[in-house]
Amino acid sequence: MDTTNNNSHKDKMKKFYEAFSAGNFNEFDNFMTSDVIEHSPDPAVKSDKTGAEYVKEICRTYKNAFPDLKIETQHMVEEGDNVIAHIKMTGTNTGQLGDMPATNKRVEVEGFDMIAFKGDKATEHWGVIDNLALFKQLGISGNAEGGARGNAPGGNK
Amino acid sequence: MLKAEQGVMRLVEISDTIGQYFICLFLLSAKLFSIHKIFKTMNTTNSHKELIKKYYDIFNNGNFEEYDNLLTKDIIEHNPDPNMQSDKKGLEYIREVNSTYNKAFPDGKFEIQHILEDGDKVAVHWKAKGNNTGEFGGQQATNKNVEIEGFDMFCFDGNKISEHWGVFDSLGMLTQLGLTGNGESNSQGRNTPVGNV
Repeated sequence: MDTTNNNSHKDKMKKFYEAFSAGNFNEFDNFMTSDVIEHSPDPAVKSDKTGAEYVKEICRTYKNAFPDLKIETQHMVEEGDNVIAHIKMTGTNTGQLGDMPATNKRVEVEGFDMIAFKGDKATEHWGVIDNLALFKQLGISGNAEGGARGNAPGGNK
Repeated sequence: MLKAEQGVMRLVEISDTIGQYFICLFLLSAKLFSIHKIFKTMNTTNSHKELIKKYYDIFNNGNFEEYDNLLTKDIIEHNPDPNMQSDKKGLEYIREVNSTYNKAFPDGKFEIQHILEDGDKVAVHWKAKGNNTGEFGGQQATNKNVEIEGFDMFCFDGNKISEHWGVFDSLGMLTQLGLTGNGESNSQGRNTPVGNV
């Protein structure tokens, strides 16, 4: 529950990760403004959408690729209107990710998110996920193995 | 005669008062000085952010011996670098990783994008740019420019960094260098750069 104002940004982020892990994308509107700015677009998710709809699409793509996906926060650092979260994502790749067919491999990767809040909603996001570890664990290396061709995540071509 | 004596007494009294005044002034300034000193130490212990800015400056300037003032000897690295093999531990491991990157990217610079402090932790979102004009992980220099982002999280023990976690876009880095060929085989010596990714 949101007890004090001071803790509410961290609480919000925890709840956001819970909603993401559970696949409750309709709850996302409680956590972010409709025009939230994504500063770190996901190279594996091609989309014309913007704002909250784009964020939903990214999260839905990962949830479809890893239906048992779970995001746990390792650390959260809050100052003023900003929070940086260190996260761990686990899941089994039983669905397609972008153009890549399911590998049925289990992954455990770390990442960081930085969220800027206005009031109690996120207005901006920056983030990095350890894509090198993710793709190594999936058994996909850069030089085009099957479905990975032409879709090397992490790089813009 | 009497008047002169009184005059002298009076002078003594006045100079006494002046003396006391100066003693008071001295004590007051000493007190202010010590208050200032207390504030200064309070500030030093509080400004973990300033120390972290110094941490990145050390990389940018290549003065890696200065890590001794900033990191505990047995600092714990929770996310060892995926492109490095080393037997070293603690501070010496961090020194090795960072001086390796510095040799590979001699003009490499970190720019802090966001820095947040909360209790004994500081989290940083950074951007780094550099030209790969030196050897890296057994690979010859590619002379390519790289620009990547990453995050670091530091935990302090007093005024020294005692733990570190971090994730950066290492796939982006390898892709920009054209080295994503055999993702797995960085440690296995020669790795032909693959241009198509």
